[in-house]
Amino acid sequence: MHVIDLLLRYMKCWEESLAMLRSPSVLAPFVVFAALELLVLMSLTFFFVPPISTVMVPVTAAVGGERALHFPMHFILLPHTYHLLYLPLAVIVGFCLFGWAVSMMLDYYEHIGVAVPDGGRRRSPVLRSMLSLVLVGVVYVTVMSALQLLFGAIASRVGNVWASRLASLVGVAAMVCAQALLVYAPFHVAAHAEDAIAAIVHSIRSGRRRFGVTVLILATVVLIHWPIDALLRHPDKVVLKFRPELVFFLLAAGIVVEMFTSYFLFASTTSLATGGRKEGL
Amino acid sequence: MRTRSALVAIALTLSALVVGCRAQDDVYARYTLERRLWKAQVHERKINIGFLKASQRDLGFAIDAFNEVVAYDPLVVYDTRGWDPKVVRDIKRIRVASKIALANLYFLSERFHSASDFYARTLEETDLDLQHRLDVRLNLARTMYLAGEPDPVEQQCAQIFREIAESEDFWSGNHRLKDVFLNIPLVLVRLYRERGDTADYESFSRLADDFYGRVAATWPDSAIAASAVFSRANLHLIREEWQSALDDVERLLVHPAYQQESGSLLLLKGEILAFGMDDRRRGAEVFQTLIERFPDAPTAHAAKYNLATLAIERGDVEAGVEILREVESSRTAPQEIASRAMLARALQLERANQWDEAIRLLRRIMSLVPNSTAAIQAPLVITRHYVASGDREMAERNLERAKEYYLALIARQSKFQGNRLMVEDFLIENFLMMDRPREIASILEKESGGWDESSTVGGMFKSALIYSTLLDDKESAERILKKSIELFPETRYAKIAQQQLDILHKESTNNNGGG
Repeated sequence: MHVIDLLLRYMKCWEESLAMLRSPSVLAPFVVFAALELLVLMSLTFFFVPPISTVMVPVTAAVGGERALHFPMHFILLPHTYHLLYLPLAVIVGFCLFGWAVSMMLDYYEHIGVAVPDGGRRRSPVLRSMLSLVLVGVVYVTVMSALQLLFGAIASRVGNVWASRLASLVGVAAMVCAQALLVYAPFHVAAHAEDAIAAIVHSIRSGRRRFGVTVLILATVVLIHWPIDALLRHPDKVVLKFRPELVFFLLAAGIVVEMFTSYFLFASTTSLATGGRKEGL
Repeated sequence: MRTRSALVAIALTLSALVVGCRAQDDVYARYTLERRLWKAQVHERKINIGFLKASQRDLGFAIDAFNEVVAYDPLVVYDTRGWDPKVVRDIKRIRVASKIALANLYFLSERFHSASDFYARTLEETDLDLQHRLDVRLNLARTMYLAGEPDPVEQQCAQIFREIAESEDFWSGNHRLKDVFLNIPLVLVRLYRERGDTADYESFSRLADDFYGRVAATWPDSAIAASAVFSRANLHLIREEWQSALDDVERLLVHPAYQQESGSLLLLKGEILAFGMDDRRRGAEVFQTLIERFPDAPTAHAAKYNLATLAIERGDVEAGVEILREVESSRTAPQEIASRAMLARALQLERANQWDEAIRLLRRIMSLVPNSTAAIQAPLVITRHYVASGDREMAERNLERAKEYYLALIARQSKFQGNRLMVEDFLIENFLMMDRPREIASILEKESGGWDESSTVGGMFKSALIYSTLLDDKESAERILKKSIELFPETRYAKIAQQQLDILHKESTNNNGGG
């Protein structure tokens, strides 16, 4: 019975996310973030073209090393260099935009008459909210990076191939679980004007309460990203077997996919946190 | 107001960043060059993976792609003042590597003139290190040889020798020389001897001797010293200075880097003594030592064969034949040596008027080891025997069989790895022995279409030679030579054919003038 209930709630999340698209402006923060990501990616890809080369050559050399200035090594290192610039971008800009998105989603719910639970909605000054969101982002990215490094190190040290794969899989599962506990933090900042620490504490509580369905949503996101991530895990093979530029296209495709999956993630978690349009969520 | 101030601050920071950073034209140029190089290397890789499968189209694509790399010279296009020296070095390195690759591709597609042009252009680069210079010069010499230009080959070889001998990099031990370059002085000495250029032959022999001596003295216990002493031994062998060659071989026998080659060195020592210095007794002793020390080694069987030859020479035929039998029946004897022993025994049997047994042995060689040198010689022995004994019918029958056998060996799809030109010579000799030059000239002309390149050319040239010298049919000779020029343009074959044509024209003009 529990599993059926879980699946029903999961399906409901999809339905709520799609319904929210009737007001397409909710997509705006995700589009803006994707555009920024693409801008960073293109700057890194075309680092050598004047006039951006005056800035991007030193940046690329600093982030990826001298080797990143050479073709085709530049494309082999591109996922790594992009990731290094993506992290601060996600922390500083990404979480602010996600907070804005959650706020727009709450507006949508208010508009259709759904009240925010746990004491109702409170608004705080923009700069304070932004600061809280950035701090939430720092915690979020730090935890994820730490888990990634930890399980990456374990996987690389295990001699057996299957054991190494198992370690990687456990790492993904751990990251999904950690995300399930932290993903509600932007909601708490946007809905209750909480500071970062309170938002994280309440996010953990919210996550634990809806752990199963949140994990299922996050697993869906991981699964959607898996083909691109799997290819980008071996950029050297992509470069040698196909063509170097394919790495750029894969990263760009990843950004576009991420735009929709991020929307789905925050729309689902917001609908779960508010209870959605109807009871039962 | 506050927003405007923030915007102004951001704009100022960005401007300072842009102004503070220097222009990066060097990185842009290098990146563009690397991208073109990569594209070219993708085509080149296809050819390297399977050269036989690669079509002329693939070669064409690769050549076009490398031409694009070579055509773009950022050091000319841009003002390079202020460029990072490392980037400039990279650009130069890429351009040199591309020129060499392009020349190699021209070489593969048999466009020898273009190839030698690019090799020569690469040599103009001032920053080329010794290794690259030597490689390029060697390739240039090879290309010029195939393009039919003999003099520049000598020039390049002499230049290689000079560069090595005068290179500080080499004598300071910073540069490891490949064995092929160590043999260049030998190649030169051989070339001058073949051309009958006594002055150069003598002077280069002296220079080579000094060079090898200096290498051996500079790094006495190293592998390169041993290779130098071995090359010097070969130099003495070319000059038939047997005692000096023997001294070098004895030096090598105690050299730590040549301990693996003891068998071959002992064999060479025995052969120098027995056949060069005519000291049969000491030669035989060395062969005996070799057999005792390495009883199952191929060199031991070669030594036994030599012992048999020495025994037969001094009239002890029975002992010699016994040794030959031993070599034939040995399981460890290489096929080439065993078949040589069989042939030598067959000749002894023929001499002893035991032809039936001899011919059985000769046929056995042809069926057991058809690709061996002995098997290739066997039909000629049979033809000669029948012609000498006046048995024309048997000789005809043997000739037919020999023709089939030789043509099968020369055929393009044949698995024969040896010298096909030598097989052609034996085929011709069989026919000439039967006094049928026209037939063999016609066979060589017609059959050569299905042979590989060098066999085809060899066949055509030999056919033309038979027509012009033995049959006095200049017209046919000219026709064949013109055909070979059409078939192999831009190669040394075309050049040689043209030279032969010129000689024919000159002869016919002289004859007409004389008449």
